[in-house]
Amino acid sequence: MDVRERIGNLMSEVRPLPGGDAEATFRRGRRRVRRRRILAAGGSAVVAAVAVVWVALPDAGGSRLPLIDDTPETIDVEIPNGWQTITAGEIAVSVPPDWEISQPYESFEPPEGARLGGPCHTDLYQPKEADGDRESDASVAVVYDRPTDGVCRAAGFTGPPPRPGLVLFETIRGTVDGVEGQPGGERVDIEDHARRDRIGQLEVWRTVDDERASSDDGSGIIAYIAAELTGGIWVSHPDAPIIERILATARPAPGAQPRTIEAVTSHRDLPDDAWELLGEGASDHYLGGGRVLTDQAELDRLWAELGFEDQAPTLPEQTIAIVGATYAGGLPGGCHEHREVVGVRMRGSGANILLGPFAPGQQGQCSDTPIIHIVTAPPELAEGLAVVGTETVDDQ
Amino acid sequence: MEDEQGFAEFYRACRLRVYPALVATLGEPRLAEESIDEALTRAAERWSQVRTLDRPAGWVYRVGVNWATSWRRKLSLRPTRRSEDLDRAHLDVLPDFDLVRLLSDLPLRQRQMLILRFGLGYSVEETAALLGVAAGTVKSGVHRARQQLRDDPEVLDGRP
Repeated sequence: MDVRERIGNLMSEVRPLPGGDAEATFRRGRRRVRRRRILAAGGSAVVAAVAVVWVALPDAGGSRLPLIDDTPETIDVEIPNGWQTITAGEIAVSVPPDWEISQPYESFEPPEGARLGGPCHTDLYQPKEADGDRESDASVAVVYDRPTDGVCRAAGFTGPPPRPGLVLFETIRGTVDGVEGQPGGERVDIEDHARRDRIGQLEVWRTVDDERASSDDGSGIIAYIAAELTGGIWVSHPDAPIIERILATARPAPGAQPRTIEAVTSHRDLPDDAWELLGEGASDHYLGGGRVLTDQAELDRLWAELGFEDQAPTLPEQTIAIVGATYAGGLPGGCHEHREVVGVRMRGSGANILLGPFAPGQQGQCSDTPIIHIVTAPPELAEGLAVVGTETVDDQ
Repeated sequence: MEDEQGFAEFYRACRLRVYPALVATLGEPRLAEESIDEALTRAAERWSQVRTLDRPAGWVYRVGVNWATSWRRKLSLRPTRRSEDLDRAHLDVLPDFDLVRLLSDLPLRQRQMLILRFGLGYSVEETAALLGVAAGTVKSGVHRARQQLRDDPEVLDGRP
């Protein structure tokens, strides 16, 4: 029997469980949405770059059909007093005063064809492929993207690497040939940016774990990183944008205070499917993607897709926009458990613009409603623009 | 209200049609149930827009898959070790468990292409529009997926 027929038969034989009527589903769904936001419970980042426009969305509450009927408030963000601004041509990035900035990036020119560290993925897992059941001394790594400099770093390294002195990468792309726990025949380039040379190529191993294979869009690489390499490595990946030059890097200085949202005073409920409409990468925990718009008409169309019945914000002339969204989330008293980083990666300028971090930490300043971000930039940068996404790090 | 009556009709038809597609795509009946409800809830919230779409059921399918994928990703933040026995117990209720399992070995995007094409009956162009890819990508993806499934002896030895 052909695959097409078997799929057809499966479709005809599977029946949903009794689900009640539409109204019951709606009520149940609203509860789930609320529960999901509670579980998400994170903060959101708000730091402005020049020509960054925040669109603040007042809460629409729980009404139905249509849910969203408020007039959006557009806020042109002013750079908070005391913040540091990095400029290069028409691009400027502002970061909090207690952040460390390196400019230029130690005069480091990436090797030809080097790619931005890119699609690293926040994850925590046990390397069962590496060493069977030796959980007690297994490597456990949290690997996350550093939007500022494209460096993947490992934290929480608790044991020896699967192979001595080696960085072992796994891919969660589902397209690599091979069997679980065996080299898949695909390689990624690993470069040590501290030593400024290529370490070599490493095999990409395959996992067939569906939890990871579900991210088959190339958005993530999970890595075991040997302790001596955690000072910073470049990760090359076919899907990552090519580095042209690094404008600067900025990162929180040790002991830097978490930021609160300073520029957004109100917001409203964004449609839950905004994540889909804005493009993958717009949601929390998801690196890569987002949506790049090249003119006002596109933004108008997106605005309509999002269900806003009012007029889209007006982009400054000769700009493009990157659109992403995050939850500014959490329950009162609970959102300080997380901090989030929103990053925007720009190839043309060579800069990774960091729009965060944000850790509210104060009751009453948290919200469980999503916020849409529109970042504008000169049109010549369109090709290299991407919303890096948000990163949530559990502080506890 | 006309809007609400229209949605109720859409809900009944869409749930019957899209739920099996989500089961086949996600491989987990319970997750599929959650995702169809999530997607239909979102459709209800934005019914005035969704009703005007060319392929509203396809939109519901896409939203359901994206929601489930995002949910799984959040769960993956926890260190977990899956139990194949437990998974099997959930999947055994399906009429063609082996097919669902084989589909789960495909990349998600290829699974979506197969299900949209052969499960929900969308054309190549419609599938491409729903997934936001080129028609050629759909053709090649479906071809590769079918090739992989054909190469699997379990497909050949499957049900007659």
